Amino acid sequence: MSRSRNLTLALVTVLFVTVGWLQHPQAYIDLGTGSYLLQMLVASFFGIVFSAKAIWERVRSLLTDSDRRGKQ
Amino acid sequence: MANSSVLRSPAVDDARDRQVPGSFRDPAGFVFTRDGAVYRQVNVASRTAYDQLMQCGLYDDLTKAGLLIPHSEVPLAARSDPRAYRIIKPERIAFVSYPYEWCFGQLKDAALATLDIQRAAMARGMSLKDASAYNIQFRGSQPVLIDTLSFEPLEDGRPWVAYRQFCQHFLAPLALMSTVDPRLGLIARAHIDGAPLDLASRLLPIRTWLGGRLLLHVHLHALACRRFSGGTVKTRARRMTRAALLGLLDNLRAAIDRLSWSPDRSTWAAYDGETNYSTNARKHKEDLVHQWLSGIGPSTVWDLGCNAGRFSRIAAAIGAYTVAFDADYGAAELTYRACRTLRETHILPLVVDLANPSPAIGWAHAERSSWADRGPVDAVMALALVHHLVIGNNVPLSKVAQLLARIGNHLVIEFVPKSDSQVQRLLASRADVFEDYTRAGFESAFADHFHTVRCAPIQESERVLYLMRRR
Repeated sequence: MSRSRNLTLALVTVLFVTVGWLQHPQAYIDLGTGSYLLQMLVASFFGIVFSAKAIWERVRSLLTDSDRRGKQ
Repeated sequence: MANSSVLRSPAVDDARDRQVPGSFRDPAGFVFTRDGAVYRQVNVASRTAYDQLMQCGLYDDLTKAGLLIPHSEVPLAARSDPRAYRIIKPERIAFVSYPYEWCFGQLKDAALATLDIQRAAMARGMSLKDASAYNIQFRGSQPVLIDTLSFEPLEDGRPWVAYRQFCQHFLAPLALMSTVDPRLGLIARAHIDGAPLDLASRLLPIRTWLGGRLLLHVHLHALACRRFSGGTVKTRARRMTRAALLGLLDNLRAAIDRLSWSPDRSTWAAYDGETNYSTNARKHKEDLVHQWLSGIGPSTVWDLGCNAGRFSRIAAAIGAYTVAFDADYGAAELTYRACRTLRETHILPLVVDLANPSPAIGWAHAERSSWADRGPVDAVMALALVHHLVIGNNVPLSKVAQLLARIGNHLVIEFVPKSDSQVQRLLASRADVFEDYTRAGFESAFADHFHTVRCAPIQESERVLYLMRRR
């Protein structure tokens, strides 16, 4: 199973637990509430993936550049 | 919430102004027409957002990319409404279509355009405050955002307010069309704010629960909405980082990208190559259509029952903006793909069943216009169509003539006699109760509504082509 599939499964498990457990007091009262919560959870996860990708791209380009300089 | 008083508000009391019935939900402004021209009022309430859009470079970015409708500002003195901050005149859309009339490829391209616009907006410190599919229109095969007031300043830490709407208007219908049946695009006709996520979740195949993006954005999204609706939830004040928002957009894009649908040899998509025309007959018919349309010089043509769009291309070639209608999703998809490949700007393929065309829907039956109310146009083509309506759908010839007279000033129409193999195929499984379906009966029914300008038998066939002008 690919790494991205494992990550998605982990996220889904967290979401099932969270959606099941989050309960009561205060705040929102419409369909948007669930959507808001889900978006925060999903986006937090994808934000980490997005940042990791960006960092990896930067590291790779630095390595590639230094590699090129070494060959020259 | 809009009500009838909005339609009578002082904003539209200027004698010649008519507020567009579907434009009332957004307090940022509204669309109105004056002497046939379309304008949008920008209210003082949206001054900050509008000025930022115009000054931050986003308007230029998007209009250059063809993703936002360009506009010009007109003098404010044109209106007496005290709420008005600016009046803008957007480039006119030749034909307003709705998501439930789009084929799969059109809805997918509209979804991707919306995500591209949101990415571009974020890069300039703005964000889309809604992601309604109705805000996207097509210029030929190019999707474009028509709601200039859809933008707001990007607030750091705030989630994307249009996330659920994007899922309802784009992701869920596309998933249903892709994994179940393209005809589920019609779900938008019953639900004006897009496919309800709980309904989409029930309709999607079980395999979509096994993982992936549809599980997150449709199934769990629906569960979360239901779990917390009408209740209260304890939340900490959380902020959403820019990276999180970009990550979400990337994931939505990947979800849309992954969805696909391709027509098989569906009845109509295959039809274009299977008619009983000889090469000469086809050529003769094409020449007649070209010659007659050129004589009229129409600016807009509706091609009813367009199949693969062969005759739509003839109309477009003489400069007419041609809306190509067909009831078959496969035919519309193939026509749209061909238009995309050729970067066609003058053909808009749409899925409309003429036996049950799009009704007027939404608030006060006026938010989205019916199919017929978006006419009349300069010319209508009804080629190899009438026998399907009369024999296939039991619509009397007089009713067909009546409808066509309502939507077109000129008519290029083909009569296919009962002896034709295509009609024989229709009659094979039903009793022939169509006594009036003769050439004389056809001419008599249409004479009530049209003058016949030209009439020519198509060579090497028993079919007859007519050019008519409405009485």
